[in-house]
Amino acid sequence: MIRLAALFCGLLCGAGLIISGLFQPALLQGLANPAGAWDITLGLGIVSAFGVAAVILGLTRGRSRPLLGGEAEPIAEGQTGKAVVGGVLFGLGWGLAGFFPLAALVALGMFAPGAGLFLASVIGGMLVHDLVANRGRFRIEGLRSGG
Amino acid sequence: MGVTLDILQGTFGPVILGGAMIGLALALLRILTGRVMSASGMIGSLLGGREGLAATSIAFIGGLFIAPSVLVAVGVAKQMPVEAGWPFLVAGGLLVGVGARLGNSSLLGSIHGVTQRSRRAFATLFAIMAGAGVAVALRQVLGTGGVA
Repeated sequence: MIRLAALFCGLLCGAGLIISGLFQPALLQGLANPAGAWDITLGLGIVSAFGVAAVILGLTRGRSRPLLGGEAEPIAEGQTGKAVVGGVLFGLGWGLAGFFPLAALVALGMFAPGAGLFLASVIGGMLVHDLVANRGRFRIEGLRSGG
Repeated sequence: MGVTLDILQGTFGPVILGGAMIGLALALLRILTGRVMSASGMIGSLLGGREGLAATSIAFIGGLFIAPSVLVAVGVAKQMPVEAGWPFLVAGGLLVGVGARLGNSSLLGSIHGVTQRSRRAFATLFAIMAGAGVAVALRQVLGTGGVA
């Protein structure tokens, strides 16, 4: 059941990315149009997603356990410096490639070759980080979430 | 400097609708399964083999992957992404991978965190947008690398 719910959420998110056009790499380029016109589509989509999520999560505030069982992933705290450096690198990569991982997974579902290359590079980047950070040993540091 | 409003071109609705679907998916995934909707987080948890997270990660990623086919099946027109050139895809992918791992940073993860009023997530989201802005400006200088 929990897997079915996760599958449905992936489907819903993927459909949202396609319908909104937010998976399109070219969208980010609209933020820096040489003609000087700003395309605010990207911002509008993000605000819409944020608004809906904030309202629903706000209404269910206080519920700490997932409905389908298990433990909720904690929201990361502390280490803001690392988060900011990581965020800048993430943003630089997003801006250069045009994809962020969610969008690339949707594009991979369209059998877009570049999305596969991008995702392989993301995994490569993660492995490189872990090799450097842990001196050759692969280990997860803490839980991901909350940015 | 002008602002292009899609509402003027009649394409305002799909962006709002699609964005709302993404937000709904984020909230539902959290409420039902307790997971944070972050592709880089899920890929990371698969790489690390964290027990208990693999099944939902695979299911969610599977949903993303089949979404285009499902939409085509229900009659939504097929649209392909306009991709950048391979040097940009590889360099960008490596940066995203290192950044995601270094600071547990991700776009949707930080949006989730901001809904929970996490200051760390605010800072991360701002950092991501700043980085993206710099990279987009850089690409204007380097050339478009495939994106028309």
